[in-house]
Amino acid sequence: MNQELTLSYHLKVNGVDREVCGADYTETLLHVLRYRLGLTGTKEACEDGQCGSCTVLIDGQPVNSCIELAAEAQGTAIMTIEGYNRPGGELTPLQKSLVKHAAVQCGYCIPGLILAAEAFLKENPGATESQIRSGMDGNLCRCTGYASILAAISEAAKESHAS
Amino acid sequence: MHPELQTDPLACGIGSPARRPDGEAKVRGEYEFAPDLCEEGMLWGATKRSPHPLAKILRIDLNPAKAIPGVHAVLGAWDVPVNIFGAVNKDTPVLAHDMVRYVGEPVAIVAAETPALARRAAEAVVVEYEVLTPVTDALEALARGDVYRHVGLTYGDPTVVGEVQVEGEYVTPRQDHSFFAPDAGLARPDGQGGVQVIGATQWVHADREQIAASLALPEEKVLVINSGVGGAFGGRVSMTWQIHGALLALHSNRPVKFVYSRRETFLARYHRHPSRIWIRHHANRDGTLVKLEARILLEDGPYSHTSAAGIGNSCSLIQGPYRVPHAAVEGWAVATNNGMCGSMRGFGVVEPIFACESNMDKLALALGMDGAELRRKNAIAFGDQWTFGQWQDRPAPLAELIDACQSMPLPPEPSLAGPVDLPGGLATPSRPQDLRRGISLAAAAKNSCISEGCPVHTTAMVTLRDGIATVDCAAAEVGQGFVTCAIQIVQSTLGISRVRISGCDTTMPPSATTDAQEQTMTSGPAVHLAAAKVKERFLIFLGREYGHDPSCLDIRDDHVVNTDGSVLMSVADAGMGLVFRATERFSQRETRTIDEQDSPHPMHVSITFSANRCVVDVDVELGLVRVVQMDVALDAGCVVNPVQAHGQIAGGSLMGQGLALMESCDYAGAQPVNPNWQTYVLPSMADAPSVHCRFLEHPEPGIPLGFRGLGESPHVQAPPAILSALRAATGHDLATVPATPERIAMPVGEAPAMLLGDAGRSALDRTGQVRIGKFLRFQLVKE
Repeated sequence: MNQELTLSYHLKVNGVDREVCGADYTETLLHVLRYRLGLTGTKEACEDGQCGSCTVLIDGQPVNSCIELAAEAQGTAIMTIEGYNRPGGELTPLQKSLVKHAAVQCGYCIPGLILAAEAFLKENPGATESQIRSGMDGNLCRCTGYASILAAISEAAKESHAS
Repeated sequence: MHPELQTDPLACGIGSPARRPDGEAKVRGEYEFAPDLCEEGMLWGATKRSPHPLAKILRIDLNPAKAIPGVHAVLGAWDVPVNIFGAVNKDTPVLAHDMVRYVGEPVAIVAAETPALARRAAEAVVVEYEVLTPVTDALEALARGDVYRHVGLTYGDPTVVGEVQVEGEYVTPRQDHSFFAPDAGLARPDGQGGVQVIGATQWVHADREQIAASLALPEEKVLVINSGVGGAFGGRVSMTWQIHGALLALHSNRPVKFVYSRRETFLARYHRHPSRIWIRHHANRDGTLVKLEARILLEDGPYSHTSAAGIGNSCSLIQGPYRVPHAAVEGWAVATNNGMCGSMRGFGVVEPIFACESNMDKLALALGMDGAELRRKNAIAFGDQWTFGQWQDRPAPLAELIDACQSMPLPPEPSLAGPVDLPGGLATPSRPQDLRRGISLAAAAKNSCISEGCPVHTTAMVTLRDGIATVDCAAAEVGQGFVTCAIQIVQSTLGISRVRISGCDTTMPPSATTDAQEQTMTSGPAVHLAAAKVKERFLIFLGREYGHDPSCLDIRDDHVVNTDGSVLMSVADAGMGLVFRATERFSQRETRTIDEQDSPHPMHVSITFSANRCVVDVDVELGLVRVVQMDVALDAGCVVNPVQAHGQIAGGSLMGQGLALMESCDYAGAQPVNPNWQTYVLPSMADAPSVHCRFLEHPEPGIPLGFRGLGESPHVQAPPAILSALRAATGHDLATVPATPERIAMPVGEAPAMLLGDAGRSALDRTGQVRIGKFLRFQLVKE
């Protein structure tokens, strides 16, 4: 491919139409979100599709944005942590549960984990601990040892099931 | 999982489950980490790195990179005012000048308008090398005499022999910190000839000193600001992009941002040093330890970095938490070209404790004794002397810790809940009937605070105004939760609930580094002393203004109270809008090197004791393992925040499990084999055991409020506990970590060949002369 060839396209991010100008075709969704659109809540960690820190939702499905070409995401609805947050600063039940169970240490993996858990709990309301451990296995954390994260997602699962 | 471990938004003060002040920002993705930093007009930095582990640089041509439009600066070794730096010894080039000594060593740096352009420009730099043969093996390095530090320690009568002798040789891998936020940050010119460096670090003041020295600037011209730190684990002690960024910012007169890729984060940084340890325990038939012999070989990289401190820790704590009347220990930190090595959680202690505990298992087997009983019998006690000549003048409750572990409930039989609960995880071929369960216990001693003469102190400032206190302390928050602890300490000391903590930068007085589990036990007391002084000043003011005797006043629940408990007024009102401030310093006791046994000072400030009882399920045929449960007991002194402390234990234990079972950063021909997370595998949620902990709280003497370090011990503790449980399940003499499925299922030939034991001794005898020159000897950081 000609390195000088650049593209301009539109992405629908958090319900807003955003223009991306003069991007390389090879730019990942992660880089476009972070460095062209300024949405740094989506974290880069492994750039290998291994850790889930860069998870965003594309049409409601969790995707590792570090291995997704941004240009290929045209025509989809992309949700990042900025779009997931409730306006006004109130935390969602999942966010509250993560804070309550001290599931946040360095916190770098957390935004991606929240979006993955959001999609997981939608498909698996009332998931058991065992189901969470297998279903959320793609989101790594180096600080917590996962116990607090499991407790937090389990509680959110119970609440989502009850509601 | 511990659903009962919850924080409380209203919790306040020492011992309460208070919430992190940054938790909400972090769950909303609004907390700014180093890779998130952006600034108007900033350039992007990129680094040209060596592809060779050892080569002579014949020619460097920067011009092809300079010719690319949009490139603003291209710098080589000759652009660095003082091209040598280092965390301990100044022996590391900022940019390689005449030689490269590891794959990934920086040779040139560029700043350009976009990340892609910067990478392209770095590619365009032409470097011609004469490739040389690297040193790839630690034993070869030892035979060549490429030794950073040699430690020889004898204690008691080294000629004594025991009735029972058990020896083994144990191997541990190169472990990567794999903190989540890659190395990143931003440097900008300050407009007055100086530079500001904003990034993730464990110690802003050490960074400033090194950056300023390399730029030939006075330290006042360099401001280092800690950004949000996405994990550290000992991996952010020395610098990578920081001096490069500062140079490029000064040259281009623009802000310059670096974000390393994960691969680059692997290549550019150091890892935990691989080790090979021979150890022989002598005991009487009743199990009493008589003598310890050990030879410890730590593989460090081509530059000394923190290697001297690592081998000092190793040679002292190979003893484990046991009373040993006689000892002969020798250790070497050697140089190879297999990338850089340095500090990581449990620095220099993970390896010897693994060897010591593994050999204690062997001894228990030889004696026909229960492992826990053998450990209890030999537990070092208050008043005993260590082999490194230090009196144990503080609590040493090992037997109590072992009892605490063993009193915790065991898990139910192997679960049939689902594949995620079986060894091998999600797609496992293991079936419940294939499993053998192993249960065993290991103990550990880990030094708290940097040892061997390094001064450890923190100066903190506390300000009270309108009933709200603010803490200013340069202690680095890397995720461990010091910010929460500092707030809780001020709440307790000052009697108020509203406490804030400022960010951390070099305009503040120096604090201890976030290393060696020393932060809370060093900066915590400093914060406490400053808060206590503020309280004293505030009460004297009140006494004068309102006509009370200050000694009859106190502060409780945000109110000034009388000795009878009656409330006089709120702190907010009583202060009349005035500012009450105090700055106090807390210093840990002075230490000395391992060799200076005549000194009145100890070698280690303090030693944390812990024990871990581990339960594993193993598929013996396939070598697959599921760590079911770890029950950890640790003497933490005063626990500031029980929920956070549990988080350290659970996280540290899993990181130790990574070392025990899966993590190894391999080199072949001095080329990195797996510098990415596809092939360097980290423990996932499916691997996580249930971790229970019990804290003993024997206060640390000499430290206000009695804090003691706890963040590293769980990592030190986990590998020997897991391996011990694996040995119990399989009957195999597993001597190498990570204990991968091949090693567990086919242990024949896995035992190392006693290269450091008496049979291989001749190789060691050739190392009489230690080279000095390229490989510097240990120099202490003294004020």
